[in-house]
Amino acid sequence: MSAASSGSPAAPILSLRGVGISFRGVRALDDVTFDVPRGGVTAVIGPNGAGKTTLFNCISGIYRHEGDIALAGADIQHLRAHRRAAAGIARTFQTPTLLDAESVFENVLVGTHAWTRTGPAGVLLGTRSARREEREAREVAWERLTAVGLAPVAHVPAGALPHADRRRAEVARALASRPRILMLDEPAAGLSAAESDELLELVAEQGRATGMTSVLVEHDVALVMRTAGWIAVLDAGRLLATGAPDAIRQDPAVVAAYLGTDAEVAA
Amino acid sequence: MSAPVVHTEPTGRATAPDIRPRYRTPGFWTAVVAVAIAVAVPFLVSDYDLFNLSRVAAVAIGVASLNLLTGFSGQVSLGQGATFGIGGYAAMMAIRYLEWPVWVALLAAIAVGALVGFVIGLPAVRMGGFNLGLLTIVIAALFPVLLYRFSDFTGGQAGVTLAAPAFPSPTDSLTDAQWSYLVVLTLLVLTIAFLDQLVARRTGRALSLIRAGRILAVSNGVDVERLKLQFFVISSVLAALGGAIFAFVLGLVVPESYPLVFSITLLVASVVGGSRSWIGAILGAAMVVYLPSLASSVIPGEASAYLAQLVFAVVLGLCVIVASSGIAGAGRRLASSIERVLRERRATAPPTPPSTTREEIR
Repeated sequence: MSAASSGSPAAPILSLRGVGISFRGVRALDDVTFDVPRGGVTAVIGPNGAGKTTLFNCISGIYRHEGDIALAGADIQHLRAHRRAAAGIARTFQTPTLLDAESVFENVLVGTHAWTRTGPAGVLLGTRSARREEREAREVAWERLTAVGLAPVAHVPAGALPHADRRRAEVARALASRPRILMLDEPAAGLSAAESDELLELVAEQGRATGMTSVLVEHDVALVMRTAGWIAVLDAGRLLATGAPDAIRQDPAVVAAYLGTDAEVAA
Repeated sequence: MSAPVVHTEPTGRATAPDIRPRYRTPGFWTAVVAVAIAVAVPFLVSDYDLFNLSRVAAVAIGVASLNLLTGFSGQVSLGQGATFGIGGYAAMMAIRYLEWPVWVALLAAIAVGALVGFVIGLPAVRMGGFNLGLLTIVIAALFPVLLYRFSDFTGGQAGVTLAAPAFPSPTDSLTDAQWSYLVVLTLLVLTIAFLDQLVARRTGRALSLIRAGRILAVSNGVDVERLKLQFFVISSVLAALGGAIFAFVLGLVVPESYPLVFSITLLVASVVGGSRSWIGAILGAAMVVYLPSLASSVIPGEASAYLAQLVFAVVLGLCVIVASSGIAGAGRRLASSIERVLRERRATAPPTPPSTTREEIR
């Protein structure tokens, strides 16, 4: 059964408590407190400058922030970014960021760093466990690459990919990290409606298969209403509302601050 | 429980690209041929040429250590010449004052290199970029000054000399120079094999991520500071090893071998040779060793030193403009475009399955 259908599930996968951050005196996020339900797709929406990407950077540990963050009940606010990645938080970027000189396969393979353990010494000595782990990593990477439909271009340098495929490659890399939470920063930007629907369906399918939760930051309100089971609305660094899509659509504060015109366009 | 999802069955070849064994890569066989030629050389050239080639091999270890740092771990050091010199002094003083055997002295140089790498690396990794350049250049500038300042210990201008060859020939059929060259060559080959294996697989991928950007690296779970420190230390160890071997080949260490310019020269050699290539390190080292003597054959006297530096600067400029991956990189590009032309001649070849391999020797 899906936990993200409606209401607040008992055990959220991610809990934010009083998350805040300032840049040179400017309050980018202030006292953001909400839960991300386990499983399914949660969306973070809000106008430009609301702090959506900043929130992602706090969750993934890129920024040092105030407040507490718990992943599946365990505090992670004291963990540095690479430890949070290892704990199961994966992400994509607003502008797909790939190793352009490396092959697409290699780009997905780097995602396995989060759960593989072989250190330089193991690589150097080519120990049995190092070789086994390398094989497993390659299998996982290949499986994710196949899932996003990029297997035919596995050996092509990532720099030669068209934009939509760069997004796919980035999603495959994030999936190769075996995440508990996949954070997608504007996954639809630069994609056609059909392409973004396809990409998000693929992510949702991976979520259903593995129990992974997806969190996406998105401008496209219509897309969010179609795909997300739970929505958090940010405005000027503060949390405006959280709830199921239907409730958000009718929330007067949200409509006043943000949705108004966009919702009419979407409707 | 969520319903099982039917995955679209990948058609045909549904397995990950194989890890091609090292011995099946073209780079491996290039290296084998190169080593075979290098082993034959001592029986074809004079002892003086062998002395120079031994210097090239020792300097190549130093340049390779810099390639590891700049080309692979994305850090920069303008003080590698000082670490190279510290390794030389450590090994020579261990023999001269402590009367340790040569091989133990090499280990001593390695230990001192590790210590130096750790002490410089700890703050250096936090600084990074421009500040790291400044810190290392200060160390490079201070090193010869300190050698003069503590001359009771370092021998001052006269330096430290060896009473007997470090690598004496064990057999009458080989001269000391031939034997010494073969020993140094072996150490170079071992170093490069070590380095080539070190930057492979998971570590190599982490290094690629670090070079692409810090945020990308940490978001994929790479502990950037830790890996950078590890590579700073390994780089220093190899620089010290190369320096010790260099000192053994010369039979002496003197402060004037290690001015600030030498550190910069090593960095230029790394860039010009190709900082992502091990062959490039050897090419760069050959330039360091041979350019001054070539220059002095063109212009006699003191002016030759300036000519050598001028040629070096021009070659560096050319590399920055036309061949950013150095001579080795340019050669590799040439080879791949020849390969492409040949492939197009063959017209309709069947598509090759994706096979990920590090096809070039680095």
